[in-house]
Amino acid sequence: MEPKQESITRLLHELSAGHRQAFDALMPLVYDQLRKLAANCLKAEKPGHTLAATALVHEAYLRLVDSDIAWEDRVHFYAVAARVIRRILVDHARASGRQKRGGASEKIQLDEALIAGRDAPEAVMELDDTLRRLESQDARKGRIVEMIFFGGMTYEETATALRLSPATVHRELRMAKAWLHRELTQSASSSS
Amino acid sequence: MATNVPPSGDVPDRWRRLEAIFQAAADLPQAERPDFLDAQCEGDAKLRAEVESLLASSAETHRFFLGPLRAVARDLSEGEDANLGRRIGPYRVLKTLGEGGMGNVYLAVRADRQYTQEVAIKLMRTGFGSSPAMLVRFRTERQILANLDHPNIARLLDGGVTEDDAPYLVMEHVGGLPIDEYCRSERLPLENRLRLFLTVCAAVEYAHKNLVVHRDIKPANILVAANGEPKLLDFGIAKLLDPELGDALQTRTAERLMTPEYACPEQIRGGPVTTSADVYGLGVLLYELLAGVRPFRADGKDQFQVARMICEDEPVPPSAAAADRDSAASIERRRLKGDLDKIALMALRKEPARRYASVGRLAADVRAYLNGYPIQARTDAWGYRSGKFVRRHKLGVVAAALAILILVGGSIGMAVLARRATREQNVAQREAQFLATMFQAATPEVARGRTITARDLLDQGAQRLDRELADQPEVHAAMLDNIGVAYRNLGMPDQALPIAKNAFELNVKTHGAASEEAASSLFTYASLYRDQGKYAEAEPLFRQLVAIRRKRRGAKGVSLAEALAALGECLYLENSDAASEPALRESLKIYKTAGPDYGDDARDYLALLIERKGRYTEAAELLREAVAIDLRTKGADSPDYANTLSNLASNLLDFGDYTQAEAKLRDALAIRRRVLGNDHPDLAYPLNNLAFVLMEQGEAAQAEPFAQEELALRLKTYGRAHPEIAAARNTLARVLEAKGDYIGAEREFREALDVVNRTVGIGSYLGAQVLLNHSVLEFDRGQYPSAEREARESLEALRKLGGENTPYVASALVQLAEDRFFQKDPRDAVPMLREAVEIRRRELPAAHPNVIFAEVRLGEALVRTGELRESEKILRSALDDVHSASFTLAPWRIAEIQSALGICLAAQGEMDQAKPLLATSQAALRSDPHPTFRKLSADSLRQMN
Repeated sequence: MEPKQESITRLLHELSAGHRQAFDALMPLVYDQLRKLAANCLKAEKPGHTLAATALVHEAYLRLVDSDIAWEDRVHFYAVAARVIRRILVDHARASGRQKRGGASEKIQLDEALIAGRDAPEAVMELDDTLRRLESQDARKGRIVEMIFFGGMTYEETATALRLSPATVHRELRMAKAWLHRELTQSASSSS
Repeated sequence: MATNVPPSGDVPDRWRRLEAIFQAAADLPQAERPDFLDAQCEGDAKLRAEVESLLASSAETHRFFLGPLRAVARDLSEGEDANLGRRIGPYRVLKTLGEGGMGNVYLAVRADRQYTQEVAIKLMRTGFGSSPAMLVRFRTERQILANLDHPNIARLLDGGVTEDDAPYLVMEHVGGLPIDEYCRSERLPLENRLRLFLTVCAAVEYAHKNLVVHRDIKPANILVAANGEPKLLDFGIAKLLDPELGDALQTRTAERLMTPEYACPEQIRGGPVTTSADVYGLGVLLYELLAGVRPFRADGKDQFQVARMICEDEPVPPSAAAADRDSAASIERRRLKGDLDKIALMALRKEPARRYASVGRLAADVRAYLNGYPIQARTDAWGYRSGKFVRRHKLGVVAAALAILILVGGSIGMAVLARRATREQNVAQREAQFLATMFQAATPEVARGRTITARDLLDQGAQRLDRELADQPEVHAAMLDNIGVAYRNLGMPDQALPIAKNAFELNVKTHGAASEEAASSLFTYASLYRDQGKYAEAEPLFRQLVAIRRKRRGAKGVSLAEALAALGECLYLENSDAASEPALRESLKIYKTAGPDYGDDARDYLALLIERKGRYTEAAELLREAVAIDLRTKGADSPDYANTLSNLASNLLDFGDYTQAEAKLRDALAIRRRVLGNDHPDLAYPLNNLAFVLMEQGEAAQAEPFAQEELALRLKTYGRAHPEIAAARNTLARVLEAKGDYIGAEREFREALDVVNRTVGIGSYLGAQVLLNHSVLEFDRGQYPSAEREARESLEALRKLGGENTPYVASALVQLAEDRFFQKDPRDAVPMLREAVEIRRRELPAAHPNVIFAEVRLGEALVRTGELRESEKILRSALDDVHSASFTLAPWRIAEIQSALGICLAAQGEMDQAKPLLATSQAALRSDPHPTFRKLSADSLRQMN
């Protein structure tokens, strides 16, 4: 059942060498493991500014990958994991959104999303949609957002994964965040 | 949505251009952006609008995006218990021990220590959300439970609230079997079962003496270790974790509804839960240990039916329910018939008043059975016939009723722990309300035809206590203690004092002078003297309290810290600053080791103390910490928060930022009005300060109603002869004086001085200040010699109190200099003003109103002595300071500088510069509360014209 370590390592290596299709091959291999880990790790988040995704990804990494692969390969693993976590969260948001519309009794939950007057699953789906639109005109910014917000990656790691300088990551993220925020708040206000 | 999708075709280009402009603009300071955008967008309004909207959005933090992601992540983790491996406080969760309706119980270890102590953590499923009141209740109740120290009660070690608002309790981890399983597996004979039961009873009795009801006695909560020692778990926790219980007096928790077989009828009906509920719970336990089955069994019935059965059906005697043969679960029927049947059924009666009056009596009967003595329990009908029985159980009702006063509300019991009990009047009223309902039920003949007030109840309660609890000194002392606190909470210190004294003495007699019982009643007793302003009486009592808590082994550091803080405050109030500071510092030190949520009181008092020495910045820091603690632990609607906020406002006053201070004061006042109503004594401080700040801002007319309201409130609370009355009259007098009502001002000052002479004396800070302020009035009325005399007397007193260099001394110097100055002795005035300016510059931030005030006077005096250059220099720099200050000064203060500078320039013959300065200052000077200055300025202008 467990994906072979060497196959993952090999795929990561290919990814580092620029074979983009390796990314898609890695996704399903990482997905199961992450999904299993997600439940425990995501909740243990600290009040810092990242998701507990960092812990989650590192845990998955330890289980899936040879410990002594090159830094670049490791970073590519994080990048794959970020995409996977995004998918896991969006899938779950979609599922719980359905449940809610199905008329199940409403759970009172206090979190930032509700405080902000937004429904969390819906907000996550919206973020995903908006992120897709960002990717369609500026794929690099989309990847940066994905790695940092969903994957809990540092600027340094993100920069390595994308072969950029951390300063560029910083600037790109500034624009991406501003654009996403504007899009999200505009659509929220126009739909209400 | 129109801007969402960029026009096709030139997407990349336009996007690139958009980004380039955005990034460049984002690097610029706000102010430079519009021009930059004008230049870059070259009339492309749409592009410009888009960049602007992006800039507006760029300030957004990660939180905006991560919030929903976290929420979904959290949701995803539910079901697969995500708490495993999680850190809760300093503990790391290892595994699940049990699951319950309100939350789960986990095995955990301390994660931040070398040694690994295993503990059980009960984590509540849902948080208290936005209710700080609930949180306060939780914390204080937790404190009460933490004080339970008995070998057969699992200790509550710790507790807190997680980042996501869920309260948790950390308890001693107990191994062993539930008591019923233990009896079964050990095939324990009858005698051993009864002895085990008696051990359980003793633990429950101990808790009752400490005013804690278990509420949830059942085999699962009593674990027996391999050595045969039982331990009770979850004492009082049902209530602790269900805040609604405390408030609505409801006992129907989710858990109850799921397993009602152990509930007593009053719990099911939602009646008040007293110690009698535990008598019932022990009855169920005894029944089960004897018969091997519970008195009421669900057996496939729905919950409603079970509940009804418990409330209406008589249980069959244990002997009838027991299995026929001597099975492992039960005891032979034959041995249960008679006494044991009677004992179990008496404990299980529907009406609490007809059960055993206490756990002790239940235990006594079991012991009597074991020893072959006659038992007290009778079959049910007997009770109705026997007047003797009725009398006895009535006593039980009163005792139980009073116990509830403590148990249910909690806050009265905890008021002993909470230093500022006075401020919890709203809680006290709720308690009293509850008491009212209860007493109406207990003594209908009293209630008939008239309304019972909380006070009636307390009066009655106090009387009944002496009469009916004389043979139970421990309960008697505890009740007295709580009635004393209740009186105090209701703002009736005169009634409270003798009762608190009585409680203290009784506690000393019963528990010993070094007991915590004695200490906590001593706290109330001492605080009452403090409330009355009798600091000299309070001080030795607080010292005694500190001594007890210092000596007490196992006493929580926090309670010593609390005692030290109270002593420190008392010494501060007595002006014994030198003795107060070490007490407060020690208190703060202990609090700091206890954790970041402790010590708002010590910080508050210490800030007041060091403000007296002019160390405002240090004080401000302490106050901001105290405000944060109160907001965090007590909530934005709490009286304590309002209190520290108000002190922070005073600090801002001292800092010179009157505008911000006014806003904070209005906040504090609003909270207090909302929480405490309009008649509560604690409105007085913000009222006083608000009156002061408005007066200082030149709004004397606005200030007056606040000053009047304060005085009225103080009079109602303290009568006529209390230092606080002097302080309130002093403020009112100053407001009236600023309004020009000298007659009214004189009247208030006279009254204030009269009170001062009868209480703290002129040699106190308060006395010296009132005298000094009166000398200002004398001065304003042109009575220079008497003004000077008073100012000198005040100066002398202030120097004696705090040394040469306090802001108070500076104030006296300024006034004395003014007196000399207007007696045509400017040469005398100059050195005093120099000293005052020097002190104030040293002690106060630049541009503080008091610095400016003294500088203006010095500038004036220097004009008279012909030192025009220096005068001009001082006044110009004052003007610069004012303009560069981080806060805004009242217009009249700026006008004073302008006017003084105008006079100085005129004396130098610079009429062209002087005239406009004097002319423009006249309008703002109209609100100057110092008429002499107004006159001086107007005269100078007139002379020039």
